[in-house]
Amino acid sequence: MLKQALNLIRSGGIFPWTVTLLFYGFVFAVIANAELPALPDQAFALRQRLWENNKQDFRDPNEAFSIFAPYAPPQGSVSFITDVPYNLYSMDIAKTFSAQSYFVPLILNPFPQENHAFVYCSSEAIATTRLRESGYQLRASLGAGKGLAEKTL
Amino acid sequence: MNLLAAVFSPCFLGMLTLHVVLHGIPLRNRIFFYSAMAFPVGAGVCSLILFFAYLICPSQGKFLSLAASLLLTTALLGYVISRNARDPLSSAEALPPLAHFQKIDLQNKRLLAEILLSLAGLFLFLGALFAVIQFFSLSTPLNVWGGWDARFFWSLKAKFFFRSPADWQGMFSPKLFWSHPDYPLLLPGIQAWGWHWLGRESLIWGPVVSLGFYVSCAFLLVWYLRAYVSSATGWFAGTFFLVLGPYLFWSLQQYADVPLGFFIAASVLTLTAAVRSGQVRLFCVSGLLGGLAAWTKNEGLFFLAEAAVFLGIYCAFRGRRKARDWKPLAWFAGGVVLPLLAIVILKVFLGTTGEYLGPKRALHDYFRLLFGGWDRTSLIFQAFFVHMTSFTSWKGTWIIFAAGALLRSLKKITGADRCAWIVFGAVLFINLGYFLTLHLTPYDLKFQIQTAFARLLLHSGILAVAFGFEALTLILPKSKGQTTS
Repeated sequence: MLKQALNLIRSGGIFPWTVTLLFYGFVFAVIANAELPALPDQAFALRQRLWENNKQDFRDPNEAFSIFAPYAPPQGSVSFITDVPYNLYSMDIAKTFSAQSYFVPLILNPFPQENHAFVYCSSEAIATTRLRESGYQLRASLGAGKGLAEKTL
Repeated sequence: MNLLAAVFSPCFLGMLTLHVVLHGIPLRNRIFFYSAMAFPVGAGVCSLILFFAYLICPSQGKFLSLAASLLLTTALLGYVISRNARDPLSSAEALPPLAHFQKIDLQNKRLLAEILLSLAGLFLFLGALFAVIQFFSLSTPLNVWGGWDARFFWSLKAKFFFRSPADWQGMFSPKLFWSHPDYPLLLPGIQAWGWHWLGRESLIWGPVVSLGFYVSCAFLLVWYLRAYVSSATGWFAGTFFLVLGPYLFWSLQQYADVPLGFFIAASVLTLTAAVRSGQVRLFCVSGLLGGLAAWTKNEGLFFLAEAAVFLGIYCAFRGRRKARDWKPLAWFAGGVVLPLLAIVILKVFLGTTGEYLGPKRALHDYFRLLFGGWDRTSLIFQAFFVHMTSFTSWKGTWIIFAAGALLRSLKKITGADRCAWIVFGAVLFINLGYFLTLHLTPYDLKFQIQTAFARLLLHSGILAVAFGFEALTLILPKSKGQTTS
């Protein structure tokens, strides 16, 4: 029985017509039922502004780190201290990555290895703890756990 | 206007490069081949030019990269014009269409059905293409910076190229280990090249590049299946690709996986076309595309190694005269040479902090990771199963692929059509490679699967669609003397 069925398929008796028609039917059903996610109404206006290169509507997500810009050397490297020590599996690393993206070509070292550091913590208390842990002393405060620090150890 | 020029310049360069290499050789559906390949190949060449320009003279890298790409385009154009003036016929040389398309007999119901199906496919394809481009352009402003990799790997490296040409090698600093200093530079290169052209860190250039690769994937399927199966199959496969969610999603995120998927698929399909037709210059194009895959992401290097092994076996068992046996491999290597040189320079002299192959691991560590326990293997199996059978994402692509393989293995197929097994083999070996590599990940396996696994399937998904459609829609038995080479 199985042998006969195989022979029928091999000789082209069933395949290709049946299979091909079924396949086209399936593909057509998939295409016909496909739908794209809904978009907010402002998408059209935003697209227009993007074409016009209106940068005010598209603020750089890394701009929060511009508070360090007046103190950043053009090249070299500084450490970047955040709420928790560097950990690849913590979302806190996004801060370091964003800051790095903003300050290219200056290199931000996520480890407390450089003479100077940018401190970007959520509060003064966390900043104080992190500075003590990593052997830095705050040299200039930029408020709310942010500031510039220098290596003491 | 400037943006359009920035887009068309690599397209033109890519098309001229392919035209010069493939001049005078018969190639089915050449116009669709160029439509699919022009932008990715041009972008890849521009990226390589930029890398070498920065290596030679970093402080003048911006000027050199733009001038060299324009000079190359002009030189290729001059060469094509002068050659066509000398030899006007050879450039138009092409294979005749497949026998069942040669004459339209209205009494032939099967042929009529194919024509109607083909027209329906064409309209569906155009409709879907318009819809996804519209969706892409409307979604882009909502996340113009792209996803994690786009922001923190590719754009970051592009900024080193653009902002401070003299200090561009800062991107390889070991202090930036998290940005993968050893990653290849195709995307950062083309991004910086476009920024140089536009004179600013243009927000829109990244999404435009991403869209270029995405649309090229659809045209790649249209070219291959139109050329080697039927017109209807090509249009339907292209449309099917456009309704696959993962490719559109990751293109919007501006990840490198869609470009990598394109280059892998383009290399395999061109290789298949080369084996079918025996045209050695197609091996060169396949090599160039494979090299660009390796220049896109490290996974491309695995693919390149697999392709080289396949070609080695193919050449060894082809059974022709010894002097001619290794020609395909030699042409393939000829195409690979420039991208591979760039990768060797990158890995050996610049970004030397690799993650998978590093001094921290001994041979027995690899052995332990590969065969150390069923838990890891089981987890990887589950990841493959869950993702491949997700209808919401893949719309049955992998089931079509498996069904195609089953039915094709039952059916007697002879001649050039057997070459479709190359595509099947490529999908199988690419995923087998990932299966093994996932065992060796230096990261937590669950973390790796959660963050990267869905994207790994993009690398072979286009080939799975190509094979599935070829296997399940090969309608007509070939008449005597007809060939699909």
